[in-house]
Amino acid sequence: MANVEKYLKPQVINQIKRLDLRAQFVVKGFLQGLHASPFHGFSVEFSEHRRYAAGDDPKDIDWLVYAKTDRYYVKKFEAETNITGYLVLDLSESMGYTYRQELTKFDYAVSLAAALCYLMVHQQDPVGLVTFDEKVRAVLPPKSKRSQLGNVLSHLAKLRPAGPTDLGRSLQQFASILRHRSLAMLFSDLLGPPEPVRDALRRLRHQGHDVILFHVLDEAEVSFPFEGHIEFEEGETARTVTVDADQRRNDYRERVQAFRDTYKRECWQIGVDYVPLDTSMPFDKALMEYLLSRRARC
Amino acid sequence: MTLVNLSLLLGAGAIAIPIVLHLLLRQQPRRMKFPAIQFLVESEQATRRSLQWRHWLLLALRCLALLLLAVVLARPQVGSNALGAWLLVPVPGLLTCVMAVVAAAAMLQGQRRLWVAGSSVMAAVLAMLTAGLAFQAMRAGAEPLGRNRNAPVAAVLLFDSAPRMEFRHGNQTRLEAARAAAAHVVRQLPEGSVLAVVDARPDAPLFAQDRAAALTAIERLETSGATRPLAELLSASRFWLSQNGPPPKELYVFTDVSRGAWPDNAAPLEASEPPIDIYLVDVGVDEPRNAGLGPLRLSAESLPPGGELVIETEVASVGLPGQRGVEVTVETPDPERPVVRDGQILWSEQKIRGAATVELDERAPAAVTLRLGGLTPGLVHGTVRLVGDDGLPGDNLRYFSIQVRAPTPVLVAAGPGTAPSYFLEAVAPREFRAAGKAEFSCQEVAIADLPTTKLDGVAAVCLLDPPPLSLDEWNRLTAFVEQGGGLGVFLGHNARAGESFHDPAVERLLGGLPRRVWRAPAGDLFLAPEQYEHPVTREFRAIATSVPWDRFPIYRHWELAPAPTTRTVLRFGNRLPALTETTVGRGRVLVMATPLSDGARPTGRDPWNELPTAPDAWPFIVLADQMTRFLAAGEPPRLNYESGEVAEWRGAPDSEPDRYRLFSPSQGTREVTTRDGRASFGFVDQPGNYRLRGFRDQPLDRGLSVNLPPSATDIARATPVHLDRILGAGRYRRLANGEQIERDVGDARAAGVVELYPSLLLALVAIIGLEQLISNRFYGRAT
Repeated sequence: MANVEKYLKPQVINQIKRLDLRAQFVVKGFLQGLHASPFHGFSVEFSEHRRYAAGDDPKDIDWLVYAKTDRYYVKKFEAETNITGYLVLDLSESMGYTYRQELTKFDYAVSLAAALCYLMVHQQDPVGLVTFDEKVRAVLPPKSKRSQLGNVLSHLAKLRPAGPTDLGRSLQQFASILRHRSLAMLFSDLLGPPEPVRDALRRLRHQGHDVILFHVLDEAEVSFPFEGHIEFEEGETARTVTVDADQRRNDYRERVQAFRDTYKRECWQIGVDYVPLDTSMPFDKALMEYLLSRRARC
Repeated sequence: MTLVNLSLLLGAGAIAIPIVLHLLLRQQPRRMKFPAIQFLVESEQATRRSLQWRHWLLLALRCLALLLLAVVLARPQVGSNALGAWLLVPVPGLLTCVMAVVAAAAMLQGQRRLWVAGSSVMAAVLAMLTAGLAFQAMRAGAEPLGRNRNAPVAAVLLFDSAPRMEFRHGNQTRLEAARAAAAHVVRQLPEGSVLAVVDARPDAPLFAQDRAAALTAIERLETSGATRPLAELLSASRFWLSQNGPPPKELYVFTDVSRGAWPDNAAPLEASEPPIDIYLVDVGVDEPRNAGLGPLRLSAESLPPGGELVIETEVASVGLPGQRGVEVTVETPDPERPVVRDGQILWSEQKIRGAATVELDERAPAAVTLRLGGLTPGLVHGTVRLVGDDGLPGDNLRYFSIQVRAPTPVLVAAGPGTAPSYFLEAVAPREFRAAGKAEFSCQEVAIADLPTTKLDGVAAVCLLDPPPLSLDEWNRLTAFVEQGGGLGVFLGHNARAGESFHDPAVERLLGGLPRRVWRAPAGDLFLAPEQYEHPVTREFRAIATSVPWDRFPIYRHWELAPAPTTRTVLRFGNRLPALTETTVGRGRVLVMATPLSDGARPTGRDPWNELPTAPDAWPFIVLADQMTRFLAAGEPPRLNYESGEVAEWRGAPDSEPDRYRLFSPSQGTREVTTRDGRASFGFVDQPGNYRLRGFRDQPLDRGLSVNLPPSATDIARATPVHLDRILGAGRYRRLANGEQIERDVGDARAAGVVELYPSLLLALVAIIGLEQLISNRFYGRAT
């Protein structure tokens, strides 16, 4: 595959409609990029060989062993420790918004979740999926089997953002579901009151879970590129606000930045990895954040 | 303040458009989905206030822009520099306020620094501009009021209508050029102006006309032989302007700017109050080319049958060298003509009787002398013509009329001891009598034979040194004079005071009494004429200072006591009357206080004077001749006139027809009636030969000739210095063509008028720019 790094860009990955391929491209592009990066060796470590079975990637066949034994063995990579991961996805209507990007916030989050799922499954880590809006809607229990990837991806592909959300309540509910120490990867735009979210995150941390908070915003929500006299309408509550965009731009940006800074500061205080993203950013930042978090845990 | 295009001010009603748009069609903001609305909610209230403020600001700016556009198109003007300067202050002042409000609002709302800085700088610049204009307005406070270019004016269009305006150049006469220029002037006069058209004819009226009537009058203008001087017309026009119409007052003079129109002797024009703008519209030709005849100088208007007429004139040239022919034609007498036949006047035939060739010289006129002899008795009309064509035909032809008649019979009765030959030779020289040129046929008788001499057919009786006559004889002479005869009484040593001269009838006839004899034996008394108005002395007028009267001493003379009705024609050096004239009936009587019949050495006494006997006694000859002419014919009728003079004919009532038919050169005829033998047919302005045909017992022809005065055809250009002297330097403008008229007259009318157009246009641009800036920021760019 020539230069798969391009698939780290959201506008390119949007052209791939199959979510499994999309995840595969994102991860492979990311890993290929890692080989040339100072983070080389981070990823996974070789654990053992096993007999080649149908469906294995022929690329993983260890030809040196084949030369010695005349049998096909594939390299088995595995983490030194297994981490149970949960992909927690916000289904609120606001996640379906984009202004001028290829991917909505939801598409972006789904692509990222799929990539992470792909990565975890290939590392033999059990991974599950939790979706929520006003409450937890679906829970796919974590499994490390390869078939789990297909299950997660097929579920992700069916999701559509709609309706209002209650992030704090949903996270509280999610926290009560978890039994073992897990890694919760939360994808949300966090639009809503921050206090319930903070409380829920504290609870998760208190329960010993690791949390990576992927704060996904649309690029327009960060840069506020609008001009002129505009009446903005919020989809979930039908609330409208009329502003002079030019006049308000700086103020808005400052407020968004303050919002992010508050989350960042408070997440740091409670030990949550906060990853601010917008839909124009390549996926590798999110993936890198995941890997850094995982290494710190091992 | 006045508006050039008042109707365009109605466009100000267009400010209703933005108001309606603002109230009814207020532009809605774009709607847009946006989830992160929570970050905008807090600023919504401030935004709403800002939007309202901008709405009203934009509305105000748009209304102001439309209002200003209407005002700009209406082109406001003010007639005062000071007012104009002050009116310019509010516009940038208003803009300063607007920009200051914008800058303050931008600052308070925390808008971009560029926007705040830009609006602040602009407000500062506008404030400085306002301050500068206010300062200028304060300085302009004392300047005088100006005028409005389109305000009604009072205007007189004065045309030089002298014949030289017929000078053709560029296939156009000067009058046609003046007509075209005048029509242009009339068309560009503002509505409501008071207008008068006047030309140089003596009887041309000066009255207000409307524009159409003025144009018609201009179209009907014609040249006239008789004209009033332009300087006189200028004064009359200025007086009319001072009495009529509103200021400003304009006087347009359409002239060829020739020396004929502006002669050297024209009086300088005095400054007028109120001031009147004088525009000298020059329709003349810078380098004219023309040749023309000067006035004719005839040797006599009355000739005996064998006499020779000498005509002197000169040919003047302006820019035209070469040779030209001059020919004189004389009308062949025809008792049947002139006559009107089939509506046409048939004139007598003209025959060329003489010719000459002259070399034209621009520096000096070429003199021409033409001689005519063998003229048939009667009234003779003739012309002198400059052969060939040039731009001005009017000065190529001159007219003359003379009377050729038989010698007039004069009875000369000489007293005893006198020498009448001096007088007879002076009146009818022997050579002339022999050649038939003598104008008088003198019959000499002794005074003693006078009672037996018939006076029928005698035109005048001259009594040379008469003794006292009988009363019967005096009565006979009185009757003769009352019938129109002339009586000359030359008193000398034969007269004796206190005798028949003292009879009241004689005193009435002679107009006074001889009282006593004055003596001046020292020879220091002479004739001393004081006035030369009388026909007897008129010939001396031109040489008055060079007549050697002191060579002809008077030793004795009678002291005359003239009656109040008697006119003293000549005086002695002691201021006593020497020659008196009395009118009795239709005749006239001359009484001289010293005789003209004393020889150098009379027998037994000293001569009373040396008038006839001194060497070179030509004054005596002239005096005797003129006295005889006067006695014989009274004041001879003039036959040659200049245009504009009043022509009349005076003849004997018993021989003059009651009415004449006048044949004028303009092909018209009319009746002229006579009263007491006098026919007056008003002033004549058309040059040419005029014929009067009457009938009393037999056909009787009279006539006269009229010529243009030299100034009427002098087309040489007057210099600017010359014009400045007459009109006053700086008190008039000289215009040459329509464009110049429009520009200069317009400038003069607009002098002092402040046009607000440029300043308001600048303000309009500023307002539109500001409106664009704000509306662009307000409504945003298409996304």
